[in-house]
Amino acid sequence: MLNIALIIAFVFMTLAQLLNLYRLFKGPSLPDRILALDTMYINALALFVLLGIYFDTATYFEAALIIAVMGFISTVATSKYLMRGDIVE
Amino acid sequence: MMMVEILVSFFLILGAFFALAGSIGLFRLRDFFTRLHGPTKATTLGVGCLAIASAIYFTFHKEGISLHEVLIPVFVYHRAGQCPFSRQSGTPSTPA
Repeated sequence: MLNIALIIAFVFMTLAQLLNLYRLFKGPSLPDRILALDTMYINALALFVLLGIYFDTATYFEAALIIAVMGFISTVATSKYLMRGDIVE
Repeated sequence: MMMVEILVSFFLILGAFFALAGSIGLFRLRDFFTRLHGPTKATTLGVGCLAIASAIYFTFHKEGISLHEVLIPVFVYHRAGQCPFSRQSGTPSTPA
């Protein structure tokens, strides 16, 4: 039962990643692309959590945590670049 | 143990469904502000549900209570930080 639920969750998350990828390439403006990239970070994190449950190991959790921190920092940096045209003043 | 499997499966499917809903919103909606609205709600809820599922699973499959999954939503619920991001991209278009 858990295996079926995991497969359904994997399919959903993969579809979500493909839709995000479409928006990342197509996005008319720069904020659209940044938003799509940020959503891709969060969905990749969710995929890592799913992989951790699938392989029954706690190692993937740390990778998910690193993706969470890096995604947060990079989204803030790109947004700030968009706002001011400069990252570090 | 059966009860734990049912609970974990429920949270897994709920979380994945919410994440997919957010991405469909990002894919289909017309305007940038409506597109911003979709993933901000749905992905945070999705990752929250997946973290709950992971915490329940590792609590019952390894020894000891596993609560380090709480750290993931701490770093993901940063959507208040997107206020300047949404403020930057011009005024919202109002329907004529």
